Amino acid sequence: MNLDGNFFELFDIPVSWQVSLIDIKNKQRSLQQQFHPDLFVNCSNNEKRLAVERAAKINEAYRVLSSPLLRAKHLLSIYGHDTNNENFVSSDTAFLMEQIEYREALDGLSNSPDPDHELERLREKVELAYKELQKQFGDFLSTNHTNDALKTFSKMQFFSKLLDQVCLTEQKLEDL
Amino acid sequence: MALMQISEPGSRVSNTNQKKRAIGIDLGTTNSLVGFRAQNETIIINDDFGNVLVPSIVHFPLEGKYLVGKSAEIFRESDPKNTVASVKRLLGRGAEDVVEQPLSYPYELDLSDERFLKIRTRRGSFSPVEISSEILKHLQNKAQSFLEEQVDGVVITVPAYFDEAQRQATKDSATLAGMNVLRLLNEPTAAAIAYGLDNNEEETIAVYDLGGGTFDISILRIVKGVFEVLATGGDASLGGDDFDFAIADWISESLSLKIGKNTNLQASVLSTARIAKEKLSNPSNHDDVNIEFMSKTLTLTREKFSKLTELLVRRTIKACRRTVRDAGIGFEEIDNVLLVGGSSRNFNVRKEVKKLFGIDPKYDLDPDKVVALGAALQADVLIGNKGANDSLLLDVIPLSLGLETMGGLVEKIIPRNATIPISKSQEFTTFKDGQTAMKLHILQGERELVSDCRSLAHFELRGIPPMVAGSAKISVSFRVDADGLLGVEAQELSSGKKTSISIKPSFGLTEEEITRMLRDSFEKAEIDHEQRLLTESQVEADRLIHDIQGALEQDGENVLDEQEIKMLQLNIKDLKVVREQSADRNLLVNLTEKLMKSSETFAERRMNFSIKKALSGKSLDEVET
Repeated sequence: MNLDGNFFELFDIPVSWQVSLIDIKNKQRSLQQQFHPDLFVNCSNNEKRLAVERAAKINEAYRVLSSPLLRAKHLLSIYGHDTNNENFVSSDTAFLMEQIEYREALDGLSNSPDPDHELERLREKVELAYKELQKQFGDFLSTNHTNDALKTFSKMQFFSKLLDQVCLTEQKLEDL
Repeated sequence: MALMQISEPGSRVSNTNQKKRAIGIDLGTTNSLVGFRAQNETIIINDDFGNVLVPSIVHFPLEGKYLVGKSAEIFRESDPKNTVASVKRLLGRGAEDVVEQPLSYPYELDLSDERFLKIRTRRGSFSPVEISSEILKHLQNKAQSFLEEQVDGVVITVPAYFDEAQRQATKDSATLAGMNVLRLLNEPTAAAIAYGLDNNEEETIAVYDLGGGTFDISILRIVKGVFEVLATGGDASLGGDDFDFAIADWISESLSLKIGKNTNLQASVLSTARIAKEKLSNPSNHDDVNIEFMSKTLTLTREKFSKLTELLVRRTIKACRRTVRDAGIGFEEIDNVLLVGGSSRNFNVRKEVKKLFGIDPKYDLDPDKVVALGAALQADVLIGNKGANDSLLLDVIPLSLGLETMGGLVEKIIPRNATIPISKSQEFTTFKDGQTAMKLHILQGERELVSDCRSLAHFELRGIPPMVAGSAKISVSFRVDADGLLGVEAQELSSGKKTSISIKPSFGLTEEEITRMLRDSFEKAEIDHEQRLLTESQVEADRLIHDIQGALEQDGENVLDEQEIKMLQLNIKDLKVVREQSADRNLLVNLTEKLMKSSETFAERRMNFSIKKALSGKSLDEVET
């Protein structure tokens, strides 16, 4: 096992799209019970600093593995794909249209007679589509269709952002 | 990388077997408390007047020592300009944060230094950090004279919703007071520890903490002694003080008072309002309250009081809703709600909280003391007095950290509610051909625009090798430690050039300022600064030797060969000799560093070995190295 390796190795689980959320939560907890900086407050400054680094890595591993989008990105980078500066779906006009529709639906909410209800319906629709994409991503990855996986990842990015915006809109409605 | 002390899960590393003394401090807006863990109970220390609550007030008299606590409070009405209360609201705040609220601060603010505000008194202008430091010193002295022994470490509580600048300012105050801070602990987490809900079962709780000047709501899950914060939210400038302001506004309106810049009048209206609020918040009182002011009588009915504070309570309820959603759970999953903070006694608060969560909130422990009790308990655990099955805390960062990008937008690097410590790297590239420097602007907050977030720091990365635009690769890593404090390191990947800075909020104290203030205070106390530095280096050397020896005993043979063990032992011996026989600080520091370097490989192998062990749950012999 290598500490400087990827997060799957750190948590001693197979490099795979499928992860058990309960399992990784337990792993995070049991590792922190051994490495958390609170266990090193009486040690030398150097070790205190190291303890922070280690614990930070364990928490970051949990954060990445538990989030579908971050886990997908991490898997792609393990397979040698830099997802930072590329856009794989810019030529996908159907998806572009879909994006525009979703955005218009979100922007149009403020004129709706029942924005709360509309927003809830939109949220359900977005969540469903996002889940479906995640399933596709897992399938593409496990069957080595990496290009398709990359395209799906790009779409997942859009839906993840959209969900954030849905939450923000929800907050704004509540604050009114 | 150097050596890392590895302990069995649930056990803590302590350098000596000797019992050490640690105290817990609840540094509150209105009142502060200090406590410690005795044999079988946690004790909050009384002051000379028999009170556990020390008013967080500092008075600057014409001459002589500054007064803190009850003896300072006496001057609150008669000499408001030289009597500073509620300074916690100004900690980590810049001039621009101080909204002109005529009733809020009945003392004079000095805004001449735009970097950070000060309070002008007859004894000079003081920063909120310096004033907090006076309160901390007072509390530590109180503990030391009660215990009749030195205090080795301290846990200080902060509102969970405190941002980076406010946390840093709190820590600076403690450094300035000469304290060894074991941990900045979030107040709601401290309260949860005090209630001690670790009964080996899984439990989800909400802690509603309404103090004098801050409001916090935290959702925690407790599993087998691990207290894990799922989400935290709140309002760092909403508290009981605001209830006072609301009542004071109503009094001055009803009596058509012209307050203007009359600080004495301000102070007495505020204090009348405070007394009325306390009467109304007393659970045994069910009547309206008569207010006598300037020979006129006003009646503050419970209905009127509810009306005046309704908006404030509603703001807290809104924050609760949002935080439960952030935690990713439903209200039905919450098993218990704890009420913390003096202002949670407000009958309206209790009613609304019960309505929201659908369960009767708990307040068995005195809401004024509960945070200090938790801090004292955790201080005792951290200093190493408690062995197995103690509690481990996993806290979160309350507000997202981000960087300014093109067009005045903020890109989030570490999202709010991420478990700390946490680190994250982000790669950047140059924008122009031959660009050799890059400016980074670090912000905290949830909004998209730079202007809506709190600016934490600006820093510049210089010496990037000139390249074509877009080809330099700069990796910037952000690290948030267990106190919620941020450190940043930047590296140009093609040249390997490293810059590391620890973030100081734009209006916080710089490292030099703290050193200077410390030195000044030493000079006053006639303590030799050099002697102190030497002692610090000696302690560091002792710790390192102890750590490595312990590690060698435990794992040396598992991960090192004979030759490697010999080398390490030789370096330990060298350091020991110098430590015992020489007062040359430079030599001591050099040898300490040498030992640290020579133990790097050992540390690395040992870490991997123990992670493997931790995950497999197997005994030592079963693990292959």
